[in-house]
Amino acid sequence: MNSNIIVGSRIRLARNLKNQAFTNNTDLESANNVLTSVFNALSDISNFNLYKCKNLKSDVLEEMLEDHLISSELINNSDISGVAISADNTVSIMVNEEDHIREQCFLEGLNLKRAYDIISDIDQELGASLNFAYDDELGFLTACPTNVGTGLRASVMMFLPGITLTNNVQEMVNAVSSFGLCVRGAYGEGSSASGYLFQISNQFSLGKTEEEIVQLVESTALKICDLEIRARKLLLDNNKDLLTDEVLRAYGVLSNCYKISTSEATELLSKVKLGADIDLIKLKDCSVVSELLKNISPTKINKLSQKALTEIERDKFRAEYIGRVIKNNRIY
Amino acid sequence: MLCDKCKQNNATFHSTVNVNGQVTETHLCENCAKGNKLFSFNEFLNPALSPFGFFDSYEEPTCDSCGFTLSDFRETGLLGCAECYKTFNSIIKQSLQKIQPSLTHVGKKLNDQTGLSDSEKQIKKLEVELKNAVNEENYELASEIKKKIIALKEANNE
Ligand SMILES: [Zn+2]
Ligand SMILES: [Zn+2]
Repeated sequence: MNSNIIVGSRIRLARNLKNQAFTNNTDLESANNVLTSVFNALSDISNFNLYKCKNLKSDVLEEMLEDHLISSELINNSDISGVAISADNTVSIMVNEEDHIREQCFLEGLNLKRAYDIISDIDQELGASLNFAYDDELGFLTACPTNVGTGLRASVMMFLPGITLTNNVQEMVNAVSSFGLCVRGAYGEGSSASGYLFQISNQFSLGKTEEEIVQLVESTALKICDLEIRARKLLLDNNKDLLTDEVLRAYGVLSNCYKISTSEATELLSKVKLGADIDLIKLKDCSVVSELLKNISPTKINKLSQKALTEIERDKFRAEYIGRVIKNNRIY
Repeated sequence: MLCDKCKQNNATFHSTVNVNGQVTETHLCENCAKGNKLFSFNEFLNPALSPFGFFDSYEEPTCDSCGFTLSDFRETGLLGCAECYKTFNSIIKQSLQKIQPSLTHVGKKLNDQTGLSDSEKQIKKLEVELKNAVNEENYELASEIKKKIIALKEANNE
């Protein structure tokens, strides 16, 4: 059940080089020096593909953004920024983002501890050849004081239709913030929740160890998981007919529509995903719906069609693609 | 209050000068302030040239190493460099107090190479030095470092 609710885990460490102005206050020459030093250090450790953002086409950057490998801030800095991506796409090291270095690891399911271990090892190796900005009292120094100390943000991505449909989001946000954690829309700062996806992460970075922070986020995610299961049961007990109708209507539109936008498709696929999770609709393979959710953005549809489509062409292509995948998947 | 210089007109320009702890107050009328030559209107606008230090209290805290000012920090929420943490120490601590559970780092320390033996750490350090020597095309130094690394590795294997 966990894996249907806890979609993914992300660890991020922020680091800066000693004796270099932070990215927001730098000049082209120093920024390029930072990029070169970090890329040199990275080329010595494990298998990373190194990219300078200015050499990447905008649709490639866009796709990396959707896959959470880079941030929009990194794209904004594309004249000076770069990214190193591991062969299996789980680790990415951004250079000249808000901080000189942002090391991050993204794993599926509830996997924060493992993600932290992976990043901690890489950080160790980078720290052996780079001089990080560090203060004995304040720890690792970051461009924004909200990240100082550990430089750690541990986040868990959660699929919470039960809590959403029973109108308990605000209560969850209140409870979570009392632990010093925060809830965001799935796609990072400032974004709103779409497709019932939420991101739970630590708000503080100083005064607790990395292990304590990871532990706190993980145990909170598990508590929310319990609440989500209870909310889903409540929905089934009180609104089963209504919910079944919603799920089957969503399935009906997805299997028969002629054109569909990303946002409508996201909303309807999320309903089908919920329906499959709680057995209101039987699918041969539930993971197909999660896969579709990752692959219907304009960038992904363009890539899949191998053409630069207009918006209407794209909406038709998306409808045809989703229909084809989903129709073959239902068990009656 | 009458002007210190002509002792006739009302004094409208007041200044306090602190020289080595010796505080002198000066009160001048508009005429004397202008004719005095001690400060022209232009000087008055330029705090650097003002002999009276009118604007001392307006000088913004600025980071010596990167030039970032307090208002840069307030506007962006970001600091300009690592040294800014010292420059704006008290203001940063005030804002950290609101969001952080404590103001002392207790997590992973810099160069906390746990799990590595002393000689492994030594080898890592030498390998970085070796790379730098090669980059600087100092091949004599490079071969010396290489010998040390080999010796350490052999000692490890025994
Ligand atoms: Zn006078
Ligand atoms: Zn500074």
